Amino acid sequence: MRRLVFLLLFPCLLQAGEFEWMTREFARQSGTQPMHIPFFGLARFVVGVAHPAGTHDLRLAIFEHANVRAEQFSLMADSTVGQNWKPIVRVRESSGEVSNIYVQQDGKRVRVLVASRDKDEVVFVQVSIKPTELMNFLDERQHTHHA
Amino acid sequence: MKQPFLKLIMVGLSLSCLCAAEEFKIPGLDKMAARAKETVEVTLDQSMLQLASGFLSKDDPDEAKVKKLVAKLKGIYVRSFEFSKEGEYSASDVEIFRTQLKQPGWSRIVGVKSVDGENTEIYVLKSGEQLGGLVVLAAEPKEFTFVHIDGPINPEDLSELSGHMGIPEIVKRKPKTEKKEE
Repeated sequence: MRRLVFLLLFPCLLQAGEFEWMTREFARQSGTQPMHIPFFGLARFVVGVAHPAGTHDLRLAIFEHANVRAEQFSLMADSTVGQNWKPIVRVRESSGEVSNIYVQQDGKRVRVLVASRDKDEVVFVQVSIKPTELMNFLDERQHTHHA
Repeated sequence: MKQPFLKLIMVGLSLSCLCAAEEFKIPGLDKMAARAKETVEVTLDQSMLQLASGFLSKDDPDEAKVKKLVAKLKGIYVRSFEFSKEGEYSASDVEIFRTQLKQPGWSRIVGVKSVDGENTEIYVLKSGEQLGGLVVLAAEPKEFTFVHIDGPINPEDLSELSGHMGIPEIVKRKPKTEKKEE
């Protein structure tokens, strides 16, 4: 029984481990620690059970007072996430806000990682989504919006 | 983030890793990006498009059409730069793009120039009987956008994407029929 539970949870533990590794790596590079988010575990549980808009997992790390310049953020984020993540969108705004979106295939799901930097705050958000469910959600919303 | 880019991301996420597509290598692109106040880069290579198409159903007729369209594409690339003042990028910067598009097979099909300095050009790559790619260059005094759709593409097929994956529905106009006198 214990082995079965372990086998079932192993993929989640692996993913969680990768995100933890990324945040630790960024913390090492930037010299800041991610802040504690109260009740975030509960939010993850709800996402894991309800799968809103096809989302099956949610991870979040916020670094406050991260002294990272906009010019160096993308390079730092790329080296933090590693080569398994494909960058599909990079946005740099005049305010110094930088957002990078990375994607990785995970079986029937797609994992999306958003790394953003605004002033002295850096946020990493990772979601695991089922594209078909997300598309259905978007199409339904579109139809509702037009009706 | 601007809505069109959000839609493009949704297309990328829903559309989808076999081999990397040949992205346009534009010399001087990094220098242009460095001068820009705001930059947007969207890179959806063949692997991403393959991944996305794999999630579309073969059974649903509409999704099957989109799947077929996307499966042929090698990549979608967007580079958009916004500058704080006019003159931060020169005509020679844009000419570098045009030089790349003077390669064999490419031809300019649309060129629009306006008095307020908004210039748009569309280039297509002929590949036998069909189009093998499409490039849009949109230059404004303080903005420059480059879009490259790599792979066989039929402009009519693009309408098949409407109403799917967060892309707004395109209402096709029916051809006007002359009213018969009674």
